[in-house]
Amino acid sequence: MTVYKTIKGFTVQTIAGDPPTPNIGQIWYNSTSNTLKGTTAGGAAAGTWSSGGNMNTGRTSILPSQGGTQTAAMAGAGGLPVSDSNSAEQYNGTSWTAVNNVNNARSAGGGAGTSTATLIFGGNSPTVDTESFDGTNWTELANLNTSKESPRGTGTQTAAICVGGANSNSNRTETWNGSSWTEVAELNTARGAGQCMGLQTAALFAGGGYPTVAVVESWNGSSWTEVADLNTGTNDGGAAGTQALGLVFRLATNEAWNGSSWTELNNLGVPRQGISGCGTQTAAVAFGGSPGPSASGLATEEWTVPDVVIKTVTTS
Amino acid sequence: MANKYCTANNWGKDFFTHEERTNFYLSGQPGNVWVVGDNTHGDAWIAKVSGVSKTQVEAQAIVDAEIATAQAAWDAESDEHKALHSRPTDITLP
Repeated sequence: MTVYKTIKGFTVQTIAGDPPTPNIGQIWYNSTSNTLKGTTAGGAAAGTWSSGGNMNTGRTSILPSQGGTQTAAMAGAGGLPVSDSNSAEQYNGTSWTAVNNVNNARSAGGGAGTSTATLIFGGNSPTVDTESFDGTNWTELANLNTSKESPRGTGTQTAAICVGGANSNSNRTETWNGSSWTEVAELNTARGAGQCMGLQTAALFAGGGYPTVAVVESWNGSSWTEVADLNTGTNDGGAAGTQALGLVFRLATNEAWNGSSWTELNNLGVPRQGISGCGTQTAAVAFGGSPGPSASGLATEEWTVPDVVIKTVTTS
Repeated sequence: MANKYCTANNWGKDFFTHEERTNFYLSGQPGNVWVVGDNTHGDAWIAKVSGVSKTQVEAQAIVDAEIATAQAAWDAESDEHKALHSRPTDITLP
């Protein structure tokens, strides 16, 4: 029989529980559960969605701070069951706090920036309206050149990109320089309601359309290039990450982009459409959408990819 | 994979945790219905959230009623809205 101490030079540690921050390859005996435990490397495949704090006002197709994080996100406006909302809320990783309302109620528009320096644009019904948030108030800014419903966006408050639109399946792309929008190159496949992530000069626009398509296009600051399709066509979903490391989530779809292909990962705990989100590929937040457990779009979920995964050692 | 069914109100943070998501199947559905993997971890979660146990038939009926309401609301919308939003689809609980 192989003796652990013989091959490792020390005995297996006995702990009443699991160590708080175990290392990859560490092994120990959990005297509480009476099980031998060890760790393996984490990674995207080990990521899961857990529940976050509920929103104060449930809504769908919220305009997100696409450049926000899992612990600092903005949810601007969004759809209510029979109308659009002007509510705005900030997430701190634990709970949502209502802030001053946006000036023009809307849903299904684009968003960029952070939770305290947000830019929202377009949306129902359709509109050209653009607003910025300075951490306290929303201010009207220069309009988009073309009205758009369900455009998507990403970037910062002063360097954003607005992509596509669902009205007449727009292929238009506009860039924002902090004071005005400029029409630039067109999508190869006209559509709205896709999932957008990245920066004004390096973005990814995945899926979208009515009906849904799986097409994905990459933006280099001057033109769109088709890259590998999503495994499942998806629209009205949330996105996080960058042009090189992206994440797309909606209903029973949760796919990660590694720069060349998409991989299906663990799904949301509450499958929803019209969901929004932001963050990174390894730490994202998803909020709103319908139909949720109460069809109110209150639910929030947090996507986290662990560095290490604790496993119980078995004989099988 | 066998599942259990319950209703429970999602209170938000830590209603379901990352560890719980790795230990059993969990899916929230309309009507506060939760589909829970049938193992000891799933049982512990149902107890944690004070879930009210339902049979699959009972749970499906709750979901069906919620979806029917959402579909009726969609049917009453304008053609413009319908062109840009999908009609809520029926859900068959696993």
